[in-house]
Amino acid sequence: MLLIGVFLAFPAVWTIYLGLTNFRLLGTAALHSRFVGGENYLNALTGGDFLHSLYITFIYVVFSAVIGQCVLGFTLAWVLRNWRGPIRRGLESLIIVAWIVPGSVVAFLWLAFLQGNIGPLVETGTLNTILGGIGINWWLELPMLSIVVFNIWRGTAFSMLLFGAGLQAIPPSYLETARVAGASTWQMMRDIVIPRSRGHILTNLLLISLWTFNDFTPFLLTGGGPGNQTQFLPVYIYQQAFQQGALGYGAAISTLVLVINLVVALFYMRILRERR
Amino acid sequence: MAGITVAKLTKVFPNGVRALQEVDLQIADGSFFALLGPSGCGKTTLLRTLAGLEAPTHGTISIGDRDVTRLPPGARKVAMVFQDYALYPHMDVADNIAYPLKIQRMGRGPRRQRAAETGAHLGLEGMMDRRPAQLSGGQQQRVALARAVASHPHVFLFDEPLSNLDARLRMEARTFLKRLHSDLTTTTVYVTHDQAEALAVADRMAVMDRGTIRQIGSPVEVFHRPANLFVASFIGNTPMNLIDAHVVGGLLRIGDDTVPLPPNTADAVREGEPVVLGARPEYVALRPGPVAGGVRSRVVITEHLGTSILVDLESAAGPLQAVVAEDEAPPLGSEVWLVVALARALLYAKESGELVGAALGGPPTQRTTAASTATLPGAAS
Repeated sequence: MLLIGVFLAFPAVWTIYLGLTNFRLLGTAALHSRFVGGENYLNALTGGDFLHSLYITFIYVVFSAVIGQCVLGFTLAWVLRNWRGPIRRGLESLIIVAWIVPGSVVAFLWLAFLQGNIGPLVETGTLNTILGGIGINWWLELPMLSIVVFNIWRGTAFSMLLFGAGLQAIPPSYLETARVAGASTWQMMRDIVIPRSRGHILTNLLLISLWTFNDFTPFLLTGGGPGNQTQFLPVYIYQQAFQQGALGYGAAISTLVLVINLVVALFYMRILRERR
Repeated sequence: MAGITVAKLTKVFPNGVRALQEVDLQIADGSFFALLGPSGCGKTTLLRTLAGLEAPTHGTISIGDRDVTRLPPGARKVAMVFQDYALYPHMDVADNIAYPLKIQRMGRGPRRQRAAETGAHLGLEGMMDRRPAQLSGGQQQRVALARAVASHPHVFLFDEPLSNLDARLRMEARTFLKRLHSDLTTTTVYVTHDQAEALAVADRMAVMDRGTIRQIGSPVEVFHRPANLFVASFIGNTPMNLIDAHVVGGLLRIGDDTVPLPPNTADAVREGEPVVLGARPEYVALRPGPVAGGVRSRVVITEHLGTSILVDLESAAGPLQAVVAEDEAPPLGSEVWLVVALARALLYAKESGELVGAALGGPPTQRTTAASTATLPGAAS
């Protein structure tokens, strides 16, 4: 209990406290920080930067996690469910490798993969080499799309594994009864597979939404740029608190992120509990 | 309404298992047909191939006058009831019963109405709004039946529908199925590994072993004249005694004992030929002293079966069994002579395992055990 208090509860409470001060890394405020009340929060909610970050983070979560990972993971799990043998194991291993390799390594691989032709000293990225002369500078011209694709690639394995377990739990006779009755694949999905996988789908959405929302890897890829096009909330916090030194402001945004996470979690758990 | 014709049906699974080998089968329109066999004999594969859930490697299937071999399951107008019933836990009883109707695009009102009517016919009144988990095993089984009935299929396919019920309910459900079939007269194919169930419900049956059909006939025919040793050993509550013997001088030589040939078999066997004498434990008698035509044996174990007693014997020809009346059990360890009721005995060629001669097997005219039980009520041992 003492350890939990020291290492978990104290920093959390301290962050909330910091958010109410004008504490900075450098300068006079570093020595003599002042209690400023809700000023940081007011700045965050009225200034454009925070809301912009919140908005693009939302887009990032919806497209890469909810639509990308969840739908692709489900599709893969469904297609692979009846496969046996080396092809399945090979494909599964490949997808899982994407998930277990450390983020910094993966980020480096993707930087190399999508590198544009930016000068004679830099090697052209793998994708542009494959595509030939088009030469799009992916990270500069389509940063959001690149990161969304990257995150789908990286996170789909988890959804696939979770849904795979869920589909295994549906007795084959459920689907066979439907097939004998003449149901199409779509009708089986709608009437049996999705209602039976409800718990798995919601748990998965909860986890991958939160993970993606708090994901810091985009910083390694784009540093939040170009401009602030990929300045997702965790990146924004890092830049404000540690690069700009505004620890008090960063702590306030962290607290807001915490609240958003809680709301999202409660929302999913609420639906989950409404299971019939 | 439709009969089923299966021609040269072969199913080889990708792992090389030959589940069905050139199966030929005719199932008459309106009949209650049982597929019986030990696990792994191919009976379930045959049923699933009829349903279209498995594609045959070779051969054809016709339902009515349609060749359905390449049709998807939904186009065959069949309904299948699975061993686990496959009721959808997230739907109420009415929606479960009406699910095939929903797929046929019947509106919600009419289909729930039809579900309620079918359910009522099957004794499910007042349960339409419940979830499957709130029903007993027997009720769940009837919901699964109602779902099959409600879509008015041409053929019912039942995959061991009673095996998840306890013994008492199974008897009730068996009678229920039989009555349902006589009401609807829909062609029914019924897979079971329980020979007693097959004998009880079917009007025709096929006994399968390792992907082939070993005998087709009415339950009476299959029970009284098993066509080969496999069927003989598989059918019957207590396994048939299959006694190794040699034909010596127009008689059967069993160890040191000599037993006459069953009627109508003398012309079908050669002198010296190894044969197997088949006699159900119910169709033998035990004598306390040496008798002509008796097989000398010793009592090892007796098991109480209620109104009768199963006696396990040891003889020169191997282990034997006899069923005697409840008050006629010989003492353990005593020597007895087993006398085969020859009119009901069967003879098989040892080598081919096939039935030889025209042994009658025939239905029993009068059971000696039943007679003695009747005259000595309550004379317990």
